[in-house]
Amino acid sequence: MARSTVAVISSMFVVGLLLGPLISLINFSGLSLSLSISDIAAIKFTFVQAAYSATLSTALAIPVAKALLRQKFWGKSFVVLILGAPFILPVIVAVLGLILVFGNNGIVNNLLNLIGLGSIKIYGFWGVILAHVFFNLPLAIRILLQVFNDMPGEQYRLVSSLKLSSAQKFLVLEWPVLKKVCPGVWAVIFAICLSSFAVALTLGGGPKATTVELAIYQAFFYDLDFSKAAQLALIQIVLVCSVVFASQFIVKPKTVFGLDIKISNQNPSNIQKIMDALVIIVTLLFIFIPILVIFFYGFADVFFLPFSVFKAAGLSIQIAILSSFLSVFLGLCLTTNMGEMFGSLGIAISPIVMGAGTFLMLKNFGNPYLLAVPVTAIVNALVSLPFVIRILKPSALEIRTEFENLSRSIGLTGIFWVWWVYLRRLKRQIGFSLGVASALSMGDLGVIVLFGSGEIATLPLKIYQFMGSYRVDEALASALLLSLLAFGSFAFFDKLGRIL
Amino acid sequence: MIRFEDVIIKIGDFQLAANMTVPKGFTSVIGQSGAGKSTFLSSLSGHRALTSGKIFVDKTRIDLLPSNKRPCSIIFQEFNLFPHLSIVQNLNLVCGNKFFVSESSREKIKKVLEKVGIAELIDRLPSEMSGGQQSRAALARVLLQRNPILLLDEPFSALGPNQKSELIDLVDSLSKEQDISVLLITHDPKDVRQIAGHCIVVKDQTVLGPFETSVALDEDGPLKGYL
Repeated sequence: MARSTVAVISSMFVVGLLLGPLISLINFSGLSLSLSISDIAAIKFTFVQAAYSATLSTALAIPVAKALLRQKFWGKSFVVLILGAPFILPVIVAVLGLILVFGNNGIVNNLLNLIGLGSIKIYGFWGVILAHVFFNLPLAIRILLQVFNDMPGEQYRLVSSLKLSSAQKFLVLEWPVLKKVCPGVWAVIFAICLSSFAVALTLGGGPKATTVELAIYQAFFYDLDFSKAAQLALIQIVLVCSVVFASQFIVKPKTVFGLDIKISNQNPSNIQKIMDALVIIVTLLFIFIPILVIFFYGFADVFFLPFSVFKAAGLSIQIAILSSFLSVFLGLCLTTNMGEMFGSLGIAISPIVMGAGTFLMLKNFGNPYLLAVPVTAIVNALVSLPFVIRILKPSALEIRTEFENLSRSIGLTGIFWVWWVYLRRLKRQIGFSLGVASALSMGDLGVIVLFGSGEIATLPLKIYQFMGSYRVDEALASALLLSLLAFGSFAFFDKLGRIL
Repeated sequence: MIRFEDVIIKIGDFQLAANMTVPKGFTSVIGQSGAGKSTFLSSLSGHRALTSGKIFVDKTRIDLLPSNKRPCSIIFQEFNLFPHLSIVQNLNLVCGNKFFVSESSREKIKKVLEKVGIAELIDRLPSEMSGGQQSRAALARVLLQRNPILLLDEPFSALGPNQKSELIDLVDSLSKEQDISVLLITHDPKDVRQIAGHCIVVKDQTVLGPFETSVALDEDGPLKGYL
């Protein structure tokens, strides 16, 4: 079967999976056409929190990326590598960690109280922003660092020879690049934050801190107003698609080219060295203390957790395996430009709506709770699909270009080409994307909140339930277990892709 | 016998015309860089579509066939072997069962590798072999394909003169043994001299010939100004 045919069929399948539940929901309930005050507040909050989160993450990333670029120190590559950790850290774990650090009785507030300053509040608007910056600052740092690293060495040499001041250097060298790259980084983070659910569910809520995604959940779960859920889901699709569409015009291609000469001519002054060290240390503390406190507080109780937690962990593992393999399978079929476009729709469509629509579709055929595991696995697969495609596509295109003539000349096509060339050449990327998809699924607290019950609970849902009933020790120990499973599954699949 | 009938290939502003019959045997294709030698060969292999004209092999028209259905094997300048597959796996791709290497396929492949002198390297990866050995492995695959035409797109250009000469001799003897017609692209007149067959010259956007090698290499021949 031709590659384009596979991509078309897979795209149709994905679009069906994404839009089918929404259509089912609209079909079931009709579409509400009026927006209440609380809906408008949710839309406004969604925009404002996403704008704040994106602006702060991007702005804070600039000095950190510059400091990492300028300074050479032992373990620097490891630091850059583990900046990827928050991406696969389960949201519920990060939220718990942030509460331990910035919460009412957290480390920061205790210190502030000690020196007689007021306390900070983690719940509400600023809590949501804090959590989003926690997740997205490392992403922004890594993108900007990559861009700075790609700047031609000759330009640094030229600017050094002109003996310009720091401000002049910034204007001549870095500003033109930042001007091109930062809007794109901002747009990516903005789009991610637009569909925020778990952060808003745990740290937000209430009329002043509800995102559209959370409002969909509330409409479906508390108000049983399916019509409103469908309406809000459509609004969310329009919002995210508009941002993604607009970002196509914002994100500009690389226009600065050199001779690929690596010239090390960053000679920071002593003051700059101290400032850079401070910036790097504060960033690392901000990102890693919440993770470390989970390990510290959770370790003591992890072996004494009730059986139900391990049962939930088992279910999370099952769902993660199913969803990661499905996501990577679809990703492998969608490594074309059209495939990427349709596969990326998962970012725009609410997992809650996907779950709710599927729930309603399945209701006609039997007890939908019995299908909670496959439905959650499919929804999780579609949620991680955009990231999986982004990982697989560049290498897949390279393989096609590199080996097209050879493959055609020996008549190696179709399934044989997939078996001998595509899968084998892509095994590292497949391993990495399986790792990312399984970690994302492991930590997902989305659609499972609809299907979840005493019988069917994943580990993130179990933690959420512990948090709701103030069983903090069990929540922390379960969070540690969940982190180990998320990082462990990522490391396992990534390693598998390297050694096979 | 390969017949090019009023063939025109256009790529942007570039145009190449060919109208000739290439006899059986060993034929070299010579011309300056960018003259269109590879374009000419890829029109025959099916990697480049004709703008107009027809190509026949014996009496069968082949220009409408997809590349894998044409009676041609090709060895390129580079990327002739899949780097992640061992030699036996690479060669098995043109044998019967394509999902795994059967014992009978392995035996068949070993025999062919013996012919090209690298039977002991059957389980090596291409990266564990020299450039010359890799070319021999690609040649072995051609023998397994059993196509009546072999196209060589400067496959030995990265090798030293002795290795290159050895491989041209090997191709020459194997092609005679298996009754394969060979078209070898080269920009080196020494290669043309080594081949006692015919020579095609690509210049001024036209494919000229075929000439007897001695005629092509004559001072006043079609390669005047190039030699």
